[in-house]
Amino acid sequence: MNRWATVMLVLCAVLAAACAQILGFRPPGHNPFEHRAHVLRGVTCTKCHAGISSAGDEGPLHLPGTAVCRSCHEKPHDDHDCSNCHGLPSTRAAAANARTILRFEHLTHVPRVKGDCVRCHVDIAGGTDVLRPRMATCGSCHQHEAQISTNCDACHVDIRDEGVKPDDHLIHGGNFLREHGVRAAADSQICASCHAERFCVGCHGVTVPALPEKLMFDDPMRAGVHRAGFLARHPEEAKGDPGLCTTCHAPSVCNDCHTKNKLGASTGGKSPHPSGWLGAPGTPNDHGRASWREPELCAGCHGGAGEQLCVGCHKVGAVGGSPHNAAFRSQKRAKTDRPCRMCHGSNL
Amino acid sequence: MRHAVAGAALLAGSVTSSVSSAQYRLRADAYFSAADPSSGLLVLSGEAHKPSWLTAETVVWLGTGDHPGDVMVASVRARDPSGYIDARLGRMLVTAGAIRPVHIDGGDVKVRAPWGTTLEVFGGIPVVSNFQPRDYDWAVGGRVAQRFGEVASLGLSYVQMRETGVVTHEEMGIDAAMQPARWLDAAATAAVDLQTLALSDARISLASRFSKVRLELFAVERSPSHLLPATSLFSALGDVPSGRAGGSILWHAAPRLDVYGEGAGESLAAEPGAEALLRTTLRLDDRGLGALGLELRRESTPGASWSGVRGTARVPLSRLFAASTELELVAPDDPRGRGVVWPWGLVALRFRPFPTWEAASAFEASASPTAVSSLTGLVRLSYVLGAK
Repeated sequence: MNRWATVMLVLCAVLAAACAQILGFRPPGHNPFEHRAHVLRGVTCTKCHAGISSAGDEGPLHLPGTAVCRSCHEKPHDDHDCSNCHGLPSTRAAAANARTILRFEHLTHVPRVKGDCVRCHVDIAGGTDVLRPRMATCGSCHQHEAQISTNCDACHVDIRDEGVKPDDHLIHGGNFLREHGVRAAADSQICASCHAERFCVGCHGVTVPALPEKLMFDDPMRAGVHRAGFLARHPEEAKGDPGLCTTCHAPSVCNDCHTKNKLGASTGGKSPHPSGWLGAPGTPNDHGRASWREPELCAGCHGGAGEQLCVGCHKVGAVGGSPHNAAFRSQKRAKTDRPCRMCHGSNL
Repeated sequence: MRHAVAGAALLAGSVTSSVSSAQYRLRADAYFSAADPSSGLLVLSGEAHKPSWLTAETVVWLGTGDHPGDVMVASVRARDPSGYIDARLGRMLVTAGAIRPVHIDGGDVKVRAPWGTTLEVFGGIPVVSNFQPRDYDWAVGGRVAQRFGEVASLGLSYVQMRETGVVTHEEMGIDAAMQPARWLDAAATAAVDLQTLALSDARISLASRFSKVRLELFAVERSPSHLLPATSLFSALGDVPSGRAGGSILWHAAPRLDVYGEGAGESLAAEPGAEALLRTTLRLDDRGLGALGLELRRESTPGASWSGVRGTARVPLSRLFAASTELELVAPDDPRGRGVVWPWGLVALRFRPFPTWEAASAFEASASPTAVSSLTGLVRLSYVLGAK
């Protein structure tokens, strides 16, 4: 092998190691503790975690030290502390953290599961470093809805300060903005266990001072419906998802903002409508089809008193003809109910 | 060329309270944007620190100029310790099943039975801003739901809004959720406009999670004309729903690397469209305090297609400082004289000297269809009473 090939090989190895480090892959020797291997050799949990069965909400964590290991491993391969290489510091830190943020007693749980620790610590068998039982595991015994969904402080000291990641709630794994509505509809009390009402009203309120992603501008990873250059994109975004804007905004919001920034035709600005928008029957006359697709955008500027603009051409007998499309049906009385009476009323 | 003043003034928010910090968490955020100097904001919010049988929550914001401020939430909540009865009174956002959230001044009572039945009733007058006319005079509604063990739930909701005695909006919703297995989660909602007996909004989501992959199938159908108040002339044009259906995948490719992809086909008033999104996030440490992100997006909408790329970075500089940046480039297929590319960028610095205080400042630069160039300074100062 020539010298350049050797250099390239070394460089690739260094690069691969660097990439692995960046991506979070752990080098050999920094692995989760070998719980599975110990269990398969018949070592019971309490052999190492002595005293855990009677542990209360406070006190030591009952993590075994080097002396406990050496009670079996009489000839260790070196004199260093076993925990330097066996088991992850983050796992021990998580156990210490759980002691602070959770109210939990092994004392009361161990008899209930008849000493079967794996009943709750199910991930032990997979050799993972996540040893704290997931909340779904708790729920497999604590089935009463009220216990789980309305009384967080029975287990969590302060769930909102805890900053717990809801890894058991599938909603947070994907596109939160799109999914949260459909999932919160049925299980809003679960959302409320972590989120105060101000979380919802921050976007869904009638008035919003600044959307969360705008107020917390220093956190670019935060999801938000109006992220980054939304102001430039918003006409495209609105056309791409008809009706979405209306789920939060009143139609008048469009007109208010355009008027304030002098962007509408009514304030001397340029009309937003392209050529061919309005015309006699037989001409392109695009406004009809656009209004069927996005009526809320029309209502944004032409709502309220502006509706008379439409009535002028489309009232019964006028030149514009019927504005209703083929799918239109209504249970309203044409001559008396709003808005029908504007075009069908007897005093036209 | 529009060049906003690239300076920023500091607004100080302070909160004084006689309540114990152990009982309530109070927060004040002062926000200032140089692009709109007349709209400085002070947001004050408070909520119970720990759940209790009687709690209160409020969010108030104050502005200047065209934005004098508002009370967003001011409610008192009482509930029995077992969680069977929950009542709220005041200004609140009511989210009851499949019907749209309603922001009202009124009351909301929820009763849960041990066998999984939930009954909710709410009513009130609408919240409006700046004394604007109300879309309706009052609203009343409710929801009844039944949970079937830990596996499924089914709910039926209803809301009616009236103005001068006339029904302006009447909607019924049905919601369902099912989690037959730990790895499978399904939810669906549908809302029907009772004025025209037509579907106004329907959504379904089916998610499945495996060890390193989360898959989701979704579909949405929405009929804008039924989302408008029934008294609006534009609600009488007809029923032309738009819908989309697609799927997404989240792959934890490496311990610190997530890849998210989403694709959907659309029917926009019978015209076809499509959208695609690819996003990667690389955390720079195990806790994710530092992170890099890259996002590619393509929207194919008749008459409004565009492509975009966005890069983000968040880097802790020290125990006190963190820097972040964000850059977005959007290219519309049909510029129509609005510029070929619409760039947007932001550079921010955050300073957190104490757990209770936080300050952040940023410069935001952009070019858009309405401004050839724009440079804006942003400042935020936050104070949290009761933070650890």
